[in-house]
Amino acid sequence: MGYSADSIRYLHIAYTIFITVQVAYVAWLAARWKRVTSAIATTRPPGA
Amino acid sequence: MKTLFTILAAVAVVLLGFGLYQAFLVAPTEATMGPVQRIFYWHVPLNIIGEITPYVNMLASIAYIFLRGRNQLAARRADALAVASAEVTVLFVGLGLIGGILWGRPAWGIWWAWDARTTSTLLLLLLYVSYLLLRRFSDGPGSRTIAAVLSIFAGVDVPIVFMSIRWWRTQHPAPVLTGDGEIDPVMKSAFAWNLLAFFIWGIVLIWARYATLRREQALAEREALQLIGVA
Repeated sequence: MGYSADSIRYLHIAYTIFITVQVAYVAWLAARWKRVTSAIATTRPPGA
Repeated sequence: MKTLFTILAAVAVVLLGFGLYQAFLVAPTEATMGPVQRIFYWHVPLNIIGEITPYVNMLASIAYIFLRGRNQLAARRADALAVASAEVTVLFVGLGLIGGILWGRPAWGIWWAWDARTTSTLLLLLLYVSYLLLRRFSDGPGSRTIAAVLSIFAGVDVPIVFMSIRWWRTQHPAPVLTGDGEIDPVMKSAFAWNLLAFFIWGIVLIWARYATLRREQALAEREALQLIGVA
């Protein structure tokens, strides 16, 4: 059975957005983790 | 804890991949809407988990309000959990809404319907965006308390979103999984795998963001102590 091109197009757009946004969020989280970890390493702990 | 997190993250990624395989290659094509119906397999789990994370945010906010004058360390932990869960709420509900819009266009012929389900979900998203904006652009314990109170009110919208398709006549379909509608067992199984994947994925994201926020709190504490010359 043939379906409209729109049906397939919107499906592809939706999953592209789902995956791209979540990958971007994970990359942002990783960058933030890396930045704070290196900042902690160069800061003296309380009482040191 | 690091090993447990790594295992959980790996399980989540594998399950998300398996969920996609189920959604695209195992589940049958729906007869009326065609391939676009496969948006369902991520749209619905994103929204379901996006309706659970606000309660994590709400409980953590209540804990923050209760603990802030009693136990500073526990209060900071609760606050970090509240922010982490609010962020994941915005991510999941936002993506769920985008999926709904892209599904609605070919299925209903319109991008957006101002019906009870879509409008209450948009309101939920805006409430958590406002929570995060409040946290981002104001500082100090006062803003944390105001945000915690906001999150308690925001949580009230969740049962309205959930019940909207039962209470009102809406453009959005009636409950498929828990209502009278029948769903193909293969579709149901594909959906269940994706729901499980997003449940674990949600835990992983909240955990990762929580750990980052705790480090940022520790860094802020160190910098403050250095500034006043204690450290």
